[in-house]
Amino acid sequence: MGEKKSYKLSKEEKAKGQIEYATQLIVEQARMNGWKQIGFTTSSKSDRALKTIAECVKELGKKDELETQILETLTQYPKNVFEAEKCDTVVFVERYAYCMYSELETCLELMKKHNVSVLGVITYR
Amino acid sequence: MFEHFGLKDVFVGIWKYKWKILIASVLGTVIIVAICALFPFKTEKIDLDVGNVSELQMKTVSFYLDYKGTGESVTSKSLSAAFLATMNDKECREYTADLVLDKYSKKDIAGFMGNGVTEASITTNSLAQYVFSTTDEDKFAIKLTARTSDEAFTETLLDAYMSWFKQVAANAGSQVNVVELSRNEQVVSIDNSNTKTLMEKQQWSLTKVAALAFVVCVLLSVIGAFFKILFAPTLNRKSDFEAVGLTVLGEVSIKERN
Repeated sequence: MGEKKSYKLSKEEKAKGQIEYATQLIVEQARMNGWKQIGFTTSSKSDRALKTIAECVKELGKKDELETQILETLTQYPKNVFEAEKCDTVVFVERYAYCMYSELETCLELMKKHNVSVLGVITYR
Repeated sequence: MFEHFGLKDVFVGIWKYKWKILIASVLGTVIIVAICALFPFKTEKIDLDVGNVSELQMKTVSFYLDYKGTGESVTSKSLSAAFLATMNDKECREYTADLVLDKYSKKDIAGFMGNGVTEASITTNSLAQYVFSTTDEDKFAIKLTARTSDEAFTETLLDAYMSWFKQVAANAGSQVNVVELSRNEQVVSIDNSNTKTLMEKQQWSLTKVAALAFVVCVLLSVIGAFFKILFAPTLNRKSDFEAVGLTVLGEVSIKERN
């Protein structure tokens, strides 16, 4: 008797696929635009997801010598915007229901003031 | 603030604060129950302390108040209401209790009342529970009813109250006469088990207080959470990010804790 095959993806497999898909998208954009350094930031305090995404992008972009930089929340450390200026683009990593409008808008305003390019946001629950 | 607010935001917010709501409610309940246990409510027993008797001797006297004065505004009807109000006075309870206790000792009363009624539980207030009054439909005549487990004691109690009303009438300047219309008596069977259950039901037990306090605390916590999410809105859906000008590159699942 053979092993029972499950055709349904487990939660972990789904989560892994989602992260790979999102990081692939970022790496492809970096290749297309010739970016070498991508910054990752968030408007809230949480940095666990930030590190996970940044590590995945770094791993996937090894061939292209892609560098990633974690920029701690600009709401708390506005000085980090100068670090963001050095990056080719910045990606936000935000958690649903925890990302506040006021904080995100402050970060985006600061980025705009310093002409920092924002690629987009990766959201999670 | 309000342009970002929808029904989904309310549910997301309440779900986000679920543990805080639960903890606040449990803490609130514990505090309220502790206060209730340390400083218990004084509840009034509506039912009778009848011990373990199975029937009550009930006697009713019907009377009206005849006004002989000249004041047009005073009628038997208005007098009835005023006289009945005196039944709640401390003086009335003390006066009637004195008359009753002249004839019966507390020991005697506790003796024929049976289990549940002790000498200590017989007070001026406890004796008042055996008497109640009603008026007829046109509020002209007063019906005074006493019911206890002892026939003679019931009679004594009823006479004590009648004596009180006569005294009140005498104090009104001899212009009011208490005119007795009829007297009747009957034996009423009671179901002791039902009486006790009813009495228990009417008591504010700590369990009842805890259940009510928990519901109130949950409601208050939810209202608190609602105001928190109303005045500090969060982004709860993909379109919220797009609305602030950010492209959503992907939606992933990451555990915040290990």
